[in-house]
Amino acid sequence: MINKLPSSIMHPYSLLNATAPETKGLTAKFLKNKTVGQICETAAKNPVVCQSVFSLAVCCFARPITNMFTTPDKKDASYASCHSISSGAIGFLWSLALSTPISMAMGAMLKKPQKYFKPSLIKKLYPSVGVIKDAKTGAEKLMTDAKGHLLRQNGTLLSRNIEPLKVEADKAAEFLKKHPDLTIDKHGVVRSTTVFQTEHGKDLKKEGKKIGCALQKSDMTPITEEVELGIKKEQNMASFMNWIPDIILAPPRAALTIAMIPWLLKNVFGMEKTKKGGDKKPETQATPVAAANTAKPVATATQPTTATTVAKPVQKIQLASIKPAQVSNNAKGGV
Amino acid sequence: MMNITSISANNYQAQTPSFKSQKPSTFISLAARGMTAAKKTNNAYNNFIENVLAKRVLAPILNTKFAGKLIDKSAKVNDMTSYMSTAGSVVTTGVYANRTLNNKNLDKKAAKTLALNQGLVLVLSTVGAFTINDSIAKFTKKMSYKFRDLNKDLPSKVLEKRFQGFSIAQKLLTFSLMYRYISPVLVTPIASKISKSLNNNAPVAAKAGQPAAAAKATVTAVASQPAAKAPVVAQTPAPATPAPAPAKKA
Repeated sequence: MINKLPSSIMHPYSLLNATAPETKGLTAKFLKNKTVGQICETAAKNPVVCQSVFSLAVCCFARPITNMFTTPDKKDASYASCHSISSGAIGFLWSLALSTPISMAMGAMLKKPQKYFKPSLIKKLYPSVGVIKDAKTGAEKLMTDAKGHLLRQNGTLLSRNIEPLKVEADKAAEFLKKHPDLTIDKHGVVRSTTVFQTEHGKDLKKEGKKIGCALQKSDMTPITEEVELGIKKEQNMASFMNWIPDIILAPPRAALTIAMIPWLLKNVFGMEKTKKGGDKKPETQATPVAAANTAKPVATATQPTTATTVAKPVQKIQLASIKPAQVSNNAKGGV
Repeated sequence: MMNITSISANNYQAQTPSFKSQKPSTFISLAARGMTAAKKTNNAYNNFIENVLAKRVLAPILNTKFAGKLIDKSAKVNDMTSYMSTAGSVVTTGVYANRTLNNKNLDKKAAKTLALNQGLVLVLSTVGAFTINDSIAKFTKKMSYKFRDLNKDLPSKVLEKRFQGFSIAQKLLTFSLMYRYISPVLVTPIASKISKSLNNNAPVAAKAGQPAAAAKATVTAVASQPAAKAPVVAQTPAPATPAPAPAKKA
């Protein structure tokens, strides 16, 4: 199942060539919604924050609602809900504080790569960039114009936007008169007749014929496999740099979550777990498996408990008594 | 005629308020200062981002040979977001599981069961998220076409980003729901059953003759007391004290 995944994932650049049937109704409203658009933009720019926003939504709405419906004891339910909200909020703030600067820095770097990256790296990301070799030292220099913009080997401005050129059906004939060396496919995408699409270096064919490369809208340069790979590398690099600090700093985040949740519960929500009789009950007794799923194990162990008076000579673990609603509010990823 | 003109000009000057000589109000002054401070802070932040974080931290990392090789290999990865999200979850789960297993105050069995539960949540979430993403990939593809076509009026750069982010957002949503909501809810009963069978197979002291409530002494009770105290407690007969709240609800 996992092995099949890469093949089933859509290719972002080939998607640009296709068209969709007309959409109406609620789906259209949803897809046109500004918030949906902004979420998609955030997902592309800063996936870590986007994921934490989703997690926050789950922790603030889905879990509390489930708790309220499935837990008979409303005090327990509200306690678990506040725990969930606290956990989500800490995760969101952590991601926001950590990922936003990195995402902004990556944005700045990709805006002016020549200012930050070595020519060798830029060539990996933008294979068509022009490079000049210094005759004396042999060092490579990138070709730039007076304003510092990157140029292609032929001296034209390097465009990194690979949106393909499209021509509407009524203007197709006129366009082809001006450009007899090009063709237009049934989706209106202008294609080259001399440069062909490849995959792993081999020509792609449709009905026995080679498929011409789509052209960049900005300057009608063919979007070759090499160019697509370069852009893919750029996107993966940005994504990688965005995620890596979040992964590396997971242990301190876990520690922070453990430390902060009891404080938040007490000082923000005014929640302290109490026994049904009205006496204070240690927090840990509320969610045993919760402890398993989150920061709770440590909190459990370190907090004072009435367990010594209640505990039986049984060393058994009875997790069957735990309801799904009580399952912990984890800091991330089900833990 | 000349007099009339001069008079009207004077009237105009007399009736037009001049702010030059007046001192600005405290509120305006404070607002202006606040704006200036905000601009300075923003400039300093941008400066930090571009000249410190980007130039001195990230760029040197990305310019290394190792990073170059990694970037080359990343061209084969089609779904970086899913893999990175999974990696994050694995690390986080590992941290918590490790803490649980090494917790001296936890009973060993309890710790193992808790760690098992964490592991189960992770495995189920990961498999579930990949399966769901895989099965709705075609649907997402169609929706992303529609999304692009319906938002054609947006600037091309913005549309390109949003179009690219559409499928990423869908995957992240699936991962968040699986890890945060669906799996924990599903795994708990499974983990409970496994722990039950594990406990039933293990020899338990003073098992016989225990009231049901006492038998339900939760993992919390075991977990929260120091290990050293366990034998002492074990000698005392099971009191009729009600079990902790969660145990009662079972």
